[in-house]
Amino acid sequence: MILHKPHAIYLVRALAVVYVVIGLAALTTSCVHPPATVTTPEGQRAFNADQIVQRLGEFQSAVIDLSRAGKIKLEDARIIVAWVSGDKNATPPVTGVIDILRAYPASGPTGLVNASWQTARPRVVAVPDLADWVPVLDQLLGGL
Amino acid sequence: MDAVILTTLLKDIVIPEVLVAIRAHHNATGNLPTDAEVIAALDVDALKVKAQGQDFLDATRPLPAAPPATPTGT
Repeated sequence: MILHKPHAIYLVRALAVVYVVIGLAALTTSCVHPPATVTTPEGQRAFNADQIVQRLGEFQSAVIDLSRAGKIKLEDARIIVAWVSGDKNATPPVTGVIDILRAYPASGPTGLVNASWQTARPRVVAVPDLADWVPVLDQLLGGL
Repeated sequence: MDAVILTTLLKDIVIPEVLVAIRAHHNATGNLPTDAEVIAALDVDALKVKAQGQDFLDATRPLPAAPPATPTGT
């Protein structure tokens, strides 16, 4: 397909608008409240915890990708991933923040998630390529 | 022309993407999830993330230090 220059500019502009709309839609759906069919406090906490677990999964994938690209030291990547997922094969085994979140529906906010995040936060802050994640994780984990 | 392209892209890309995102929050029957289903989903998603992390940690685990060489000979 051959586009004249003005048409190409229109197409680029249109695509930019499309990507912005898709981004906003994704952001909106990632911040949804529990559906009306989830009625118990435990279920509502589970819904919120599941949203956070999914974001942590994306964060962990980003850390692993950066490690494979050589943009983060392997030792740092391992510590951050172990903070997220735990490490059952370590000596002694390490509990991850995901494990704390799995208990969140029954326990409610205990401060344990935030306390765990505060221990990992300096190491995440120290990685420039993870800077965008810091305010996100502050927001997600700060009140739990 | 600008509006035509935009309308086409909205119809063919944006709206389907938004619908996919909305459907992702529904269960297989198309109904909104119940309490039991969101609690089960939390476990499934948590185990998925943990498995990915454990795979990475196991694959990159440093080898244990070799034991000191024992003298040989008489």
